[in-house]
Amino acid sequence: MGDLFANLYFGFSVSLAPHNLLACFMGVFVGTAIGVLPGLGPVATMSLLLPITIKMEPTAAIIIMAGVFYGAMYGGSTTSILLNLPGEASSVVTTLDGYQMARQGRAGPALAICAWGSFIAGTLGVLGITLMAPALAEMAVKIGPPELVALLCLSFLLVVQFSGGSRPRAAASALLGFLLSTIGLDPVESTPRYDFGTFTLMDGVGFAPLVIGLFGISEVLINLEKSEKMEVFKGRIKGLWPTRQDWRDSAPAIGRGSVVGFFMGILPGMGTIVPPFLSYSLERRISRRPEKFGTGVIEGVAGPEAANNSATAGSMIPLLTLGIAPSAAVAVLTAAFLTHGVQPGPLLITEHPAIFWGVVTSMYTGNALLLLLNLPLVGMWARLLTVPYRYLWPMILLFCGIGAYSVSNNPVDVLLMAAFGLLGYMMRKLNYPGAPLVLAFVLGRLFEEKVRQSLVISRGSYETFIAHPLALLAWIASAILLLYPFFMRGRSAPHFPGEEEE
Amino acid sequence: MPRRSLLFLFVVALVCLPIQSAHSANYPGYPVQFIISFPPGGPGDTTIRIIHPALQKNFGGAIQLVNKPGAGGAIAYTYVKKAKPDGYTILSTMSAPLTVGTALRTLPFGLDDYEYIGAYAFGATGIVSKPDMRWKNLDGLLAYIKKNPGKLNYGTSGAPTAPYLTMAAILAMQGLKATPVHYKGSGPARNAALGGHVDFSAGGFGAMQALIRAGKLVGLAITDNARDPKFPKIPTLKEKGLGRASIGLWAGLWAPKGTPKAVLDKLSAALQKTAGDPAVVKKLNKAGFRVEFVDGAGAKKLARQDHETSKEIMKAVGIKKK
Repeated sequence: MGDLFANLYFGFSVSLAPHNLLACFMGVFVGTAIGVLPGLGPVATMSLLLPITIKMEPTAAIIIMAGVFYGAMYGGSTTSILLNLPGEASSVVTTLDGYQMARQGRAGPALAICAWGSFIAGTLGVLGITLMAPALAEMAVKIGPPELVALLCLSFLLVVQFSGGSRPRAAASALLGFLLSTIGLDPVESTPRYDFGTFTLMDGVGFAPLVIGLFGISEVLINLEKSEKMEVFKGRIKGLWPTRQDWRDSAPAIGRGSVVGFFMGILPGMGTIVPPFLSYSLERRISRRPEKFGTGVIEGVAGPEAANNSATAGSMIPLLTLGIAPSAAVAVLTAAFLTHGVQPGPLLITEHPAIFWGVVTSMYTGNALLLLLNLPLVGMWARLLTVPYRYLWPMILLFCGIGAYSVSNNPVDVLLMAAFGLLGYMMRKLNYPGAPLVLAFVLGRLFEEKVRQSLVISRGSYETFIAHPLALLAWIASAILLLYPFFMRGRSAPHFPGEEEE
Repeated sequence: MPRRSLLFLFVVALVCLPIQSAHSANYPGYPVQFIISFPPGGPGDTTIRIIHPALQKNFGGAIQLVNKPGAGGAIAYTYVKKAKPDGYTILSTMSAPLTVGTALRTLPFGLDDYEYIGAYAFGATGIVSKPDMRWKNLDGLLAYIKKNPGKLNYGTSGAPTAPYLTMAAILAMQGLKATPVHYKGSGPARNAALGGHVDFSAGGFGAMQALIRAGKLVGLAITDNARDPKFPKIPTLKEKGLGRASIGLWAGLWAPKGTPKAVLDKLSAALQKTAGDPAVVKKLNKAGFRVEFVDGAGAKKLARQDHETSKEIMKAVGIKKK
């Protein structure tokens, strides 16, 4: 333990040096800004920053890049809450209750709880890195294809429960997501599928055009249909800060979200997108008022926002200790290390202690800076709702276009975004939820890849899926989850009036 | 009316500007775009970003790096093939899509569609396994596979990649059987070996170096022409008499067919000077690459050789062109 404090002291002496502190502030500032802008994501921004940071000292450069990464998770919730369009893919879930809160004039508390939840989760996540990074990384590597298949199934089942409305519609939406995920080269033999002979579709549908179109563009279309006044203004802004009751509701959700996000972040492929979904469904499951979810409950905002933040911390672990990038954003961070002649991996901590501890401790500082940066902005953002929509929507469209284009500098992605915008519009008109589609799309690719790898390794024997203890555990949990409603019905569990109507 | 004609003149001047400066002696008149076929963070992206500051200085003009990833590099290759050969659109990437890709697939570009400016960073395929396996080196591994035909699994960086072709070729040359499990890239393939999900893995050597140095993986062989000075204990396939399985993986610069020779020479000279910069060499070495400047003609020869080797391997292993 003494060692740990010595290391932390050393780390802070690096990260609190004026130029590194400045780097940290710049990172989180840019991160917040691009998080707020719908369309622009951390991956694109970090790649734009890469050439700029190359002239800097390595520690400062990596502190900036990491700051953008976790800073984006703070800003991402802002437009989700205010305008019903996720600033970041990881904030899709936040729209469900956050936007409803804004409509009730509670945008302030929603935004503030996001900042606090992000701060608490971010700090807990960094604490997790500090205390158990190496052990967790070793464990993450042990999770092979069959275990991941089971975990993916469990995740999916958990999430299927969450979408309020009609189950068949959610299932249809998820199915469409699965189908979309099969476009492009198949993940194992690299055979092109449904690409119509074009290169753009050979890699499959891009995630950015899909999410931006489905949520951003369709939201604009829906709003343009309405009269000049946007619906959000109907409510009067009732107080900017969370009440004591809000805190009582959110605190446990933030705690659980932090844990879920942190551990999911370590797993390959989960990134920061899946954890918020899981957190939301978890909160809804154990809530005493599940029927209220989707109508503006604060724990439905606090939990997911905490989860996406601690997930960024979790996904840093494989990078810092094994040199493994579990997501696209972390891959860009890896590049930042390499361009500075530093090899991330097991030897990082001994070969470059200043970088390792400097970056880790800068994340504590960065989260504190983000809180200071975001809380005063709450009032300003809440007032954004008073800006007439006719000024807002062209800006939104512009940023959506930039966001879709900037991921791979491919103009076809902008067309795809427009197409998904139309799809999203139709889905909303017909009351099909968009979130299950996105989640199924993300999980679908990983699921196919892992199932096929498992079966190649096991020579086609399906036993492999239950042969591993962790996988078995996940299957049992899935089974319980599936049967749970029947048990509850049998024991005449407390019924909620809302549930019957669903 | 005069105002409109002035505007017209201005537009004409704008349109003519690039053409004029391209043909004038003061190339580059405006920033040159380097098209990278990888996403930021990919192997061919890291190499060019490392040399970018020095290259820009030696070139004496601004160079913009633009990522156009997708379709295993095909999007960037096609884009540059169709670009105007004025020296302002240059392809900066790894050789594999051109050499291995065109052997495996029917693609709308080929070896002869480009001018070769030069190669500067050489990667290798590395074959690795965990230290506690029943073999300690490549011979041991091959002997074990011989005794246990078809029992072992190996991770690859993907079906259409050079490391897979190399490993498949080694097995075919020795008459051995093991099952490939394709992962998405060298990183995941390496992790599969590290986690014990497969028995050994073949992928980009650069991605494996950190874990080999830490003693978590053992390097059994690499494909490069000579041993890596940082890993003097890892033998090359050539030494083992398996050199025919080696496919080069190198980073270079290409220009659209028909680009003026003066432009190519200027870029090539800048690249040569950059590859001789000790600071650049050190950084590329750390990122897992060997640095050597090969001029345009040499790079073209290397590309042809890698392409032919890929075709031979496909024939020997029984992989059909898609």
